[in-house]
Amino acid sequence: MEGIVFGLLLVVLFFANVPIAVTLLIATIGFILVSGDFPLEIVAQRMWGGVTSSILSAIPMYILAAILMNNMGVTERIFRFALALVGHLRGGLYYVNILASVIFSGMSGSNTADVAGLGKIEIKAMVDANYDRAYSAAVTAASSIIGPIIPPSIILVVYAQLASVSTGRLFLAGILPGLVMAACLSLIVFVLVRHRAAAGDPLPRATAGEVMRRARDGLFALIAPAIIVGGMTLGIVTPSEAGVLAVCYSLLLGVVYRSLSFRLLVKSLHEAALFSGAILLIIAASGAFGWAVNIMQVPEAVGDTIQAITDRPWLALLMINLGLLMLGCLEAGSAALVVVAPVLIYLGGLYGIDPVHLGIIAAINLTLGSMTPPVALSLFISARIAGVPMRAAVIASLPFFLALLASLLIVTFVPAFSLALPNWLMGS
Amino acid sequence: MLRLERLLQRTEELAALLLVAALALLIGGQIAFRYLFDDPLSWSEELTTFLLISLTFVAATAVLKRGEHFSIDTFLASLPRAARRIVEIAGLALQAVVMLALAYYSFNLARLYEGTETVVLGIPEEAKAYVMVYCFLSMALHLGVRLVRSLAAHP
Repeated sequence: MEGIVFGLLLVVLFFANVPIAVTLLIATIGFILVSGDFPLEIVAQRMWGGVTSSILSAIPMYILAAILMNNMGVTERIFRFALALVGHLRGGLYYVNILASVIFSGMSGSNTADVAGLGKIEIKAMVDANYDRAYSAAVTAASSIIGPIIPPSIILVVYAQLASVSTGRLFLAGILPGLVMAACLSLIVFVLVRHRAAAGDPLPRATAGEVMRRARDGLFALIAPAIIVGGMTLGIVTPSEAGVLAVCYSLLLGVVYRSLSFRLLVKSLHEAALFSGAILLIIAASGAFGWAVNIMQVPEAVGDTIQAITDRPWLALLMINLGLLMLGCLEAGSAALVVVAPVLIYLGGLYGIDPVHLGIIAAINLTLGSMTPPVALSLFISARIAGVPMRAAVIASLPFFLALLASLLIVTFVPAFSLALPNWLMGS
Repeated sequence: MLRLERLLQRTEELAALLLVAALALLIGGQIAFRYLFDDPLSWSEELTTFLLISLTFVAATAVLKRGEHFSIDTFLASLPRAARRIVEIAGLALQAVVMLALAYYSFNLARLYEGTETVVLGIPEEAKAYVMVYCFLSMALHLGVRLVRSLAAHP
């Protein structure tokens, strides 16, 4: 009975636009009230416990670093660097869009920071060069999906906390899959610009001097992931300390570029605090929610059901992907991960799937939700920037979605893409 | 009441901003003291945890007041206006009651932890629960105000 109440409350409140974190809490309270076996104080206690790990302090730091980069114009320099490198190709601004997102991924752990910051610059350049607006919005949303896969990544920090996996291993594991995603997107752009009138005006090739000048800016930006991942892999800093180093590095760039001001710093701190609050409350609520899910033995029930269908890990992986994709359509990113984590971790153990590999699969699936309706937050933002109706953006995003789906399947069924780097650098 | 609400929101946003800055300074200090002065801060972990818990609830309160928490609005938006209003009012009422309940149970939790403190800095453990009590009460107040406003508005 308590299980039915728990499930019903979840579904009804999700659909009633109640915040995800509050929905998780109400479902947990409903479970406790119906079961009558536990004191309600446990909800507050588990919420508190959900955010006691100091690893989680990395989240506001990564958010702050990304916001500082956006506000201080570092993203614009990344864009110009990518433009100097590949802007002259046919449909060059699509490639610029993808390359700039890969570089920005190394500083930002969130795809919305990519769309809202870098996306504005990219879409404006594409519209000015007479690129198709709907495709411009679509490629911006699609390339932003790489953001949370290449370190640093908020969703991977959340997964590391929930699954008790090393954040350093997860960060290393995300690098190659992120590049696979970029390669698949570039491939679809290559096909697209040859078969459809999606490319805009051709841009002149940058001179060697210009490339060198832009490369200097780009190089500064490329140092950020090296600081974060390198520092953690070498055991010099913890994940949260790496976040602060990224913040310090952003501030240093602000001083070098003369774009840092006290007002901008306060504005960035304000934005980071609000964004962090939204994510951290969900993690706090997941402390109580995860407890209830485990008491009800939901992971075991789901595991038994899937095991009754198949005992083959590859088929189980396919079913996990499908389930995560469907969940991602309703709610993307860390919020969805928190809901599904207990089941996911149990299934991983059941089928002998490496938890690091599983973390990357989950991160790609759930971030993809940012470009799939009905939620499609990234696509929604990029469509608004491009000034196209959401319907047109959704249709245009289809080829890019398929490219990302292909990369997801590659990463899923070739675990070496996720595991080679962490095993090589940190031992298996 | 509205003025109090606005004052609370401004204070909470300022507090959240300062908590992020304090976290950054503290974690940065950890690195500096460990590598530059070869003298790791033994107390920093305790303070980081306290600041993080405070940031979570204070910032979440500010976000709730801005209506910026993650939620799924697609289905509600597709309902007829009258039905949407009923669902919104019911949702607000339920959330307000839950926040009041959470404030009450956080208060009980605070009393349960009274007399305990962290090992190095001696931060009273119940202080974390009291931060939660305040934040849940502030959220309940805001939801209550929104509920009254929604009820008073013409359908």
